[in-house]
Amino acid sequence: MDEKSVILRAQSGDSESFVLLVEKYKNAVFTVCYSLLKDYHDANDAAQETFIKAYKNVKRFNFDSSFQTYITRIAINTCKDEFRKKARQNENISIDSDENLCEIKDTSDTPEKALEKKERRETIRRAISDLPQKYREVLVLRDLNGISYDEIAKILKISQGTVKSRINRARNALKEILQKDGTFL
Amino acid sequence: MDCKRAQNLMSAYVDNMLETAEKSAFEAHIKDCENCRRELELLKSTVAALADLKLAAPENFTDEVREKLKSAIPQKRHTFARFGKFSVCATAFVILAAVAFSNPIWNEFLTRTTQNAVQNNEKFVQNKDNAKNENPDFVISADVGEKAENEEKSSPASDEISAHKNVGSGENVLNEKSKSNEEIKLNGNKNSENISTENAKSENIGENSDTTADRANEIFGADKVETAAKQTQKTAENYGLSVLSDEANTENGSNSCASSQAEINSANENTARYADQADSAPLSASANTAESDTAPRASLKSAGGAAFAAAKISINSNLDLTETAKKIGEILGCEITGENKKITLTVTADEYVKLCEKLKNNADFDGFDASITENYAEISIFTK
Repeated sequence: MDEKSVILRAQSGDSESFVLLVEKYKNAVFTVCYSLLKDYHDANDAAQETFIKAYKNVKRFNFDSSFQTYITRIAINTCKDEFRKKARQNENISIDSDENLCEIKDTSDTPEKALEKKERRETIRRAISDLPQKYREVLVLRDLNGISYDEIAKILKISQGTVKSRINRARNALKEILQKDGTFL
Repeated sequence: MDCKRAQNLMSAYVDNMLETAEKSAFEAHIKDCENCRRELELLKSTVAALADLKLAAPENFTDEVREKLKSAIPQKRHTFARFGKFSVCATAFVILAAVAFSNPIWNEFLTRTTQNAVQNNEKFVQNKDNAKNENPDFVISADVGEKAENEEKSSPASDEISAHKNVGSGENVLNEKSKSNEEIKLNGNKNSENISTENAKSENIGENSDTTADRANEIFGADKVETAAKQTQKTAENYGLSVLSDEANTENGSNSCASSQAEINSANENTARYADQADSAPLSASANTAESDTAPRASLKSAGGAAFAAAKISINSNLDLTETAKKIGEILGCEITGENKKITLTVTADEYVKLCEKLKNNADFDGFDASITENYAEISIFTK
């Protein structure tokens, strides 16, 4: 069944169909939430809430954009709510190496390679967490979730020009951090 | 192509987003410039490194969501959907009102533009056949406004609105407003952050098109949107105010005032709504036309009014930080301090409008977007 039919069925109240969508997008949504909230449990809560909200409002989805855009936008807004609440409570959100985190593993890796990758990921994650939220946002959307410039513009409600320049600035900022770090030797 | 331009285009090149001519120029430059070539390689490595960071959702995720879905019911489509926006814009209007009432000129301006909005909308009602209206819910009636208000109160927060958490305060503000204008306490910009994530621009962004903004667009069409905007512009000019032009907004890819337009539109939607509290019909009616108004009204809101911290604008400047600060200072006639690649300004509503206008036309600036943070607003200018 193609995605459009699934969505149509979900719109008519078939929650099992919606679950198919959950399966499809859960990783992407969780990635977005984690990158913004930087905490495993918060991200999990936010991601789940995202899908609940999306389901509640699914009748309003009218295929003008992709479902991924729709769900990603909800995710970002949900996280922003969470984030604002937390920011007041905790000024210094630091990224911890979360043992709970499940990276998508490449099973063809040797143990050494896997460890190497894991450390590298940590470095990059730390670097990203140092970036301003606006930069983190576009990086996650573009480079982690592969969302197009056009859809990013819709999700974040900014112009395409802004998307372009922001992505460039975000990547450069990250690049600089990684260079200083010695990651790119 | 020089290095500076090449570096600006680098990400777009990696993402294959450059036009053919630009792409060739870029590739030609890269061929000859070792520095840029190196930067390009580093950029590609960065992008590749990021792709590695995808995470998997926890194991029981789907099952847990499935459970929760059982008690969730998809909401029906309804027209004046967003409760959050409702309260948010109510707040916006309150802030605006506070500014307006403290300043006779703005008061006059506000009254005038809302009158215009109401007039326009009355015309709309008469010219129904001009509208591309397919949804009967949209027909203006006294009841709709009330009904919408009640519906919104009971509807869950929508995906668009992160203001649902602020609903309480928004609602209170709303009630206060209806009691007495003078006694309104400003919520500061607590809700105004949501304006920036609000609503469609005057270009059609159709998803969840139950938003009145989109509907306004569908119905009015872009040209009508512009006309109302021009009217507002004229009115504004009468008072020596500059208005953010709609034309700038309808260009694709233009940074100028894009998000601030979004703010304007969404705030305006309900600003006019409250223009006349007693009568619901013009309320719901003018909500739609007001959508198309561009006005400094929302900009005022984002400037937080006279006494407040300023609006947050990101400006991509060709000048370096000091020069940028100086330039902006010249425009505003005030002094600017900057640090850490950010410049913080405190401006009044007037100044905000002026700033937007001038920045839009100034060759040294690439344009800007506006967004509001939570309890305050600051103008941030990011330089490279």
